[in-house]
Amino acid sequence: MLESFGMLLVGLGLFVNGSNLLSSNLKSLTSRRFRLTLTKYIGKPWKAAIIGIVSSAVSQSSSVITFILAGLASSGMITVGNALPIWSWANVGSAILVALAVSDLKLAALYLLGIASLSVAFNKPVRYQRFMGAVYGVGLLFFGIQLMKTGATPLANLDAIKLVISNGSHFYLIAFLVGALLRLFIQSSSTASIIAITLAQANLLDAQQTMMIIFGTNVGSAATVMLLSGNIKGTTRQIVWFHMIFDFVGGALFAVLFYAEIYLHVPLVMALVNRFARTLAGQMAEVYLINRLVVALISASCSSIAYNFLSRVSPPTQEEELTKLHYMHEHAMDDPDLSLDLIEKEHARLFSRFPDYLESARNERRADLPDYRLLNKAFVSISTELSAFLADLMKNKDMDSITSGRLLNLIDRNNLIISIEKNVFQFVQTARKASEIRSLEMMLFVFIEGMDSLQHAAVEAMESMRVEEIDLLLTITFDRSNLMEQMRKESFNEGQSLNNQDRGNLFYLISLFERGVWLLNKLGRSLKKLAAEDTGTEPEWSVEPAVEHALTMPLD
Amino acid sequence: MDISTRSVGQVAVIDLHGSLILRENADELFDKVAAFIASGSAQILVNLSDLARMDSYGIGIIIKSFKTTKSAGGHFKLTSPSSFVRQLLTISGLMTLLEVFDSESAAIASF
Repeated sequence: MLESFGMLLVGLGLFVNGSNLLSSNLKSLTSRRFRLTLTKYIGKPWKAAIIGIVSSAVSQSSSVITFILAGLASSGMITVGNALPIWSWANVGSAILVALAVSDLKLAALYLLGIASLSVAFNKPVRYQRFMGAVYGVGLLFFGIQLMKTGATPLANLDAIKLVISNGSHFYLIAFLVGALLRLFIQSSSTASIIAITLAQANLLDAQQTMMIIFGTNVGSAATVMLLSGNIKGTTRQIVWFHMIFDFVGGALFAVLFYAEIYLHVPLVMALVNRFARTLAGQMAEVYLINRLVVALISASCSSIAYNFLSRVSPPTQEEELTKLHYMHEHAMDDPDLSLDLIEKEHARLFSRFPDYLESARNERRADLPDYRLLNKAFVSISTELSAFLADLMKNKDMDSITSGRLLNLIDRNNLIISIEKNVFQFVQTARKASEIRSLEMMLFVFIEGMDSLQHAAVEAMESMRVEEIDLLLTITFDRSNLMEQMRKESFNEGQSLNNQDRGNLFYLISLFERGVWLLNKLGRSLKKLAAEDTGTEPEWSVEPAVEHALTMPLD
Repeated sequence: MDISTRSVGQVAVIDLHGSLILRENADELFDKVAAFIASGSAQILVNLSDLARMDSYGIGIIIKSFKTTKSAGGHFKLTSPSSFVRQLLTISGLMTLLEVFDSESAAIASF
């Protein structure tokens, strides 16, 4: 008997590990490609259904789909209205694994596991290691099921088990709760259901108890997202709540139907599966499919109403508004010129936020502006998307030479904007540290206001793309290394009373300012070239006459 | 912020007192500049000798005034900034954009 328990335990462990291995390898195989597919084919209900089914068949978890959709919606890549039907159908795809798991795949599992484990062990072929990792996961999963079946069969002869099964009607609700708890711990409804079906095949559970475990996994899934969504707000919460509500409805509805069939003898799910499948495992796989299909149909047909309700209850947060792409979208990728126009607009939008960072460094800051850390987080998110779009555009071989040239310029500018943002972020961070030193108050004020005015001039140049504004930017960001060197000397004298750390911060702040000016000048040059290209002329590199005048004046 | 205006020959002089900052009606400076240009006086000198404080908004107003005067064919110059204001003008690059003089007489003579 101990050997049977051991086998059951090993089988369970291999099965859960295999499931995790499959899921993690498929996720890393598919993340960006998967997201591109999702955003490209959404819109029509039938497309949402196909994408939902395929995506959950691939990821084997509706929770994973929920969080991918939530991420896409909160970054503005898709709307919540488009995301909800995809989630609805994502429930159905996981039934494929259940159907496969109940089939007799003993021999296939052995070969799969053998080949994949050797491939992973020798790291060959290197290129397909993620894929082989996923296959290894499938092999472990099926081998685990076989071990569980073998280990569980002798247990069915235990008196305690026989007692439970013979008094099955008293344990329906407990089975339902067991299903919920199993889902909560294992984090996969299909995995929890396969475990129940495997135990039923070994006669440890009867058909009714297994059904209730399957229905209970819906409630477990709802409970999982409820526990995870404690701190989630805005668009993400809309999708998570949609998941929670309809999973709960699915579990509760089927539990009611189950009792109606048992006690009122209304022919429902049990009667239906008895007509089609011969084996118990086949019947249970059908129960799982019917359950998921009904939840999908109900939730998909209610998605518009649910969306209106959820968007009122949980509107997008300030962070989500900041993190959303406003112009660029996946559909634009079919037209490279349009994509470049939209990316330029996104750049200008991101750039216009840089002066707002500096508000966090001021003593009397405006409460209506977001914190610089939040702005940085939003910037990183959007610039990552834009960099990915630009990288994808580089793969386009049908681009004409003018568009290619424009793309290269835009990639340069994208990198420059990333550098400018990093510089502004570090400048604010350092200024905040230095603001604790009273003796530096005036010097800090000068640096912060100086940086702010330069950023505003750069925003004006970028938004207008007028030659006069660009020339002005180039003039005020003229090389001032002499001035900065002098400021360093003055700071050194003034900073005699400071400790090493504070003096280090002060010098770092001056360096960041100097670098900021240099970067803005570089941006000005890039804008000037672009403006000249637009008019088909050569850029004229002139500076204001006052530059000569100023450079010959003694510095105070 | 208080603003007073006067004329020295062909030059319209604007004297600033107090702070040229966002919260203290810095836009008034631009209004005065626009009014001078509208009345045909596009040679403008801003006297900063009594200006105690200036922020990035104030710098923005000076740049805007400079651009407007320049596009009207005139000149926009500054005179007598305090050490603090001069430092701010230097850091923000305005010393390379505008002509800034130590004395009003030298500034008037430059027009």
